[in-house]
Amino acid sequence: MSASLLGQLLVSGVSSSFILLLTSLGLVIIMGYMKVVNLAHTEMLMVGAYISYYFYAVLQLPFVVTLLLAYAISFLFGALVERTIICHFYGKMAETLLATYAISIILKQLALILGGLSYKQVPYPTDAVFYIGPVYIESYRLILCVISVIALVGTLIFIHRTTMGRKIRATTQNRDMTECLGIDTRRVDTITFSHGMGLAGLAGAAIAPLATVTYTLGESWLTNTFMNVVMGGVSSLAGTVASSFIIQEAISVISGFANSVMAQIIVLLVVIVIIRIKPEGLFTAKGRR
Amino acid sequence: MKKLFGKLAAGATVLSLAAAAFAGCSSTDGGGSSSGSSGASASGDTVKIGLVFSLTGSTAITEECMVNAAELAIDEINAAGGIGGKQIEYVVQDYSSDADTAASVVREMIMQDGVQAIIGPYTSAARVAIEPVIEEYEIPLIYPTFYEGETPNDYVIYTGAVPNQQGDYFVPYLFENISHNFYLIGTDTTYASAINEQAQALVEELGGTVIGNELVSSDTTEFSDILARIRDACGDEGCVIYANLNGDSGTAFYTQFSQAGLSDQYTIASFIMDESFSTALGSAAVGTYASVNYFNSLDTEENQAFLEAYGEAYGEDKAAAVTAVGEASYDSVYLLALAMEACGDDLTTENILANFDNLEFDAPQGTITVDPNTHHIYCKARIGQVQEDGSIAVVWESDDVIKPEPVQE
Amino acid sequence: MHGFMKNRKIGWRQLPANRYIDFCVLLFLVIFPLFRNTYWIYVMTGIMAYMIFALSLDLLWGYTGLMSMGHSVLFGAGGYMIGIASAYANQADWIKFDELPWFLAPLQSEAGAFLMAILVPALISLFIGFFMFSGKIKGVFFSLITLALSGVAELFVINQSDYTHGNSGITVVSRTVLSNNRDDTMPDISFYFVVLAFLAGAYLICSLIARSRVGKVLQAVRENEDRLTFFGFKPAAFKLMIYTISGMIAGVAGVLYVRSQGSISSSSVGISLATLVLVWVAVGGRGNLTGALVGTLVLQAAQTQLNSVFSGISSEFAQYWQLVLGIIILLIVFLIPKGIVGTILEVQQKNRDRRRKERILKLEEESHGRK
Repeated sequence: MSASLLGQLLVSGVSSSFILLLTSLGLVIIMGYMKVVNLAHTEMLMVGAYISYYFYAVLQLPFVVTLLLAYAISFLFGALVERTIICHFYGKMAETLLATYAISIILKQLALILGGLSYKQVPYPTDAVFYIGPVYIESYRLILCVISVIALVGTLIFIHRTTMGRKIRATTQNRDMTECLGIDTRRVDTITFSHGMGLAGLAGAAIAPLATVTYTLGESWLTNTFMNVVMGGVSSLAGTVASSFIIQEAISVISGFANSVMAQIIVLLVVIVIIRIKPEGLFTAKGRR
Repeated sequence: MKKLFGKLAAGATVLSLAAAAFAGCSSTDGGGSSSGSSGASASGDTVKIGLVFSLTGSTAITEECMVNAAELAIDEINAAGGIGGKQIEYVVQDYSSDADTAASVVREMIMQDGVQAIIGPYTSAARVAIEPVIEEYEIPLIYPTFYEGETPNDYVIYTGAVPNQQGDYFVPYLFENISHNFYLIGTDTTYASAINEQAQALVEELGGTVIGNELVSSDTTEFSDILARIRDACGDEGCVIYANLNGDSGTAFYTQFSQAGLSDQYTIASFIMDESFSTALGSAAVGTYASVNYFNSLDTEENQAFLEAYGEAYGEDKAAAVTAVGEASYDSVYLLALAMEACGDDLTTENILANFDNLEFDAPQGTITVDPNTHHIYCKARIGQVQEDGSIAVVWESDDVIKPEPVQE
Repeated sequence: MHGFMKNRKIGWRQLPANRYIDFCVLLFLVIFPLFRNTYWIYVMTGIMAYMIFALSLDLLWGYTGLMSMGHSVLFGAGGYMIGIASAYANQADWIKFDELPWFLAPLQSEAGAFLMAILVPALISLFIGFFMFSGKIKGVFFSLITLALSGVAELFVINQSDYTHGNSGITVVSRTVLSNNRDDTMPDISFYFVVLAFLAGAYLICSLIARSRVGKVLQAVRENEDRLTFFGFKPAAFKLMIYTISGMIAGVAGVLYVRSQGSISSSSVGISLATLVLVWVAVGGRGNLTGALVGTLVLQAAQTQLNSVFSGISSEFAQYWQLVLGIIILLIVFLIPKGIVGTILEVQQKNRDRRRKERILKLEEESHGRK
């Protein structure tokens, strides 16, 4: 393997990792802070991609506006879903799974019925390709990395540096005590869930140009995003960041000498074994109960 | 009274349960349990055929055009007086890209609706699932999809191209006109791996180099490391990227390939490139090659008439995205109608199948003939290149129709 | 409680409502072939195989609280063993090897194939279970891992096309229990009763397990695992055992389904079937076996029936049915979270409690009156 290929694989691996991170961020927030497994997550990616298509490709709004709109619409949709459906099922894993599964079916079929049977393309916002010596990177991939970092850092600041974030953490740690302090935990729940859904919509809008937009877009992300979150330890943002990179790089490396399907299987088996050894996930800080 | 509530509720459930299953007892027993020979249920002035395609599921986008084209053909035949005076009745069943469902709905069409022939499906998995059913009930199936070739089934008529009508001409053309280097990539399916294996053998025979050969899983939408490997392996020389990728994975490859700036140096060639892709992909597909027996842009009288009728029925934009499988579905209906017409009043499965031998039809793609030995079609091989407007122009076609050889030695 | 029961004769009124429903379902399935044609007998054969599959999930999810989101992997593993055995026995033209590799060698004999169809799912569940059921791992991990497993398993089956014929799937000699010879195919009606017998057997096994001491421990696992550990039980061992048994039953269901359909493809191991079976059990009501039967029967029969009614009217029906299914699931979760059978049982229990209360009050009144 030549040095330039190695560099190239490294760079493209890193950019793919950021994309995986971006697409799983919303899932890990909802799962980590609310203990809700959101099966509708990948369908929200699809919804975000459709938003990207209608606002950016059809209505020709600026891409940044489209991204913000995708976040806002998904946020509002998340709030609606949380208030009407999810809030009734906290602590009941089976019910939330079924409810979010139902939402995912409904979203997908609505996209099929309303969007019609055709491939829809979202053009790339930027076309340039940068070269660093023999290594190249497309400008849009760089932008995706930036979006992903902004989403991550924004979320971290939101959780750790704002009053609302403090309330979210407090609710996660001890709901009853938080309520005793006069904090409206229902509102906290709604905002956490909506933020997670909003991030999924944003991610969907951002990745839309990478392929065509169809109602089946969500399916292709299901296995990877969920595997990523499980390996990261379900509730830890830092864990998800790390596992995004490990999974993506592992798949890249293993698919070099086996094939990409075997790579996915090997990674899953490794995840299963790791969970036995470190049930809290790979990168969770010690001392959490 | 409230004492009874529990039991009433239990009773009600059982009743509703029974009702759900019994409801159709009276309504849909038309075809009845008649099995074996289909001729038994043929009524006087109509013939009944079944269409099995995905209206939902992951392949629905591709199959929409197939259903439309088949329905169009049926309407045309009925308007022209039907099959020997008999009108065609048809049922459409959705198998939602799922093989088990395909087997089940085909049984329903045969046993409940009493269809005498079936047209469809698109995926190989669904065809394999349907085969035991049509063998058991002895109903002909017309399969309108190009595929990798196999030992022909006695009850199936294949109206799509097989590799010796596609790849055997495509690879040499690319070898001579584009580059001697080939990078093979495909979705991990029976079809793409067989196609790429055949291509590998051909390239080596011609004295070219196969630089890479990879299969990716069908949910792959991230190609950055594969693009990196392509760039590294091919270097500054030109290269044919022989990419047989499905659906979302395919469109992702084309867009990311062109975004990475690789399309200036290398050329994608693919069997899956068709008008539904090329019209959607915009600039990402321009200049890439495709090979199949029919292209939308063909300048024949039959094709003009076909596309015009299609546009009238389903809209001009849909007509621009009519693909080879759509055209094959259209041909299938006409071939079936001709075969049935030749039967006269003796409409048995045996007769229908026998009448397909050497059957000729002036299809939009040109005249096609059914080979009596394999029940595949003689057709021309064509190679096309995607144009700026999303259409695919024919850049090469064989002088004559080519004999189908589904079983590769 | 036991004393109370012993003092009174257990009349038929005392039976829980789901016993009546069980009986009705059985009666319904036995007389069903009298009323419907061969097509419906074939449909119902498939549904009964699915019912066995749903039972195996209920044993795991309903009784033990382990929500497997990849149960189809075990179902499909059983089915694929038969598929490969059948393709090998008939030398399907896609098979490129002359000898089966050592790990598939038992498939050469017919009984061996059936055994493999039970053992392979059992081994898969043993492997997953061994790593998943250590004390510290929470239930949600199990659900997520099994979800990822079914996603990857579908890709794996497509990938191993030398043995599985990739995404084209395998044609199987249908309507026999063991044989891979086309001449042994039974008429639809005979095979219907074979599957019905298997269903009855699976139901008996499941209810025996549920009622045994083991079953009680399993329900305790669901309710409060920590407390069970304090009593000196090892929940992990029980979970592993039930997951393995459930896997074996799912494998048998896979065999019967494949034999009734005549083919198997990669979708039988995928996420869509895995979530579908969860929906059946949830709609019927989990934790009482009857719910699994009723949910599968009602949803599958309704889908087939509606499909045949609407396909004649509009070809777009299929697109809307999925939407309706989504709404049904939402409604079920909202209105009757315990499922159809679970709700009936609850209503019955409430009525019983109230009657007992009334009786006690009456007795008290009478004794006051005497004073």
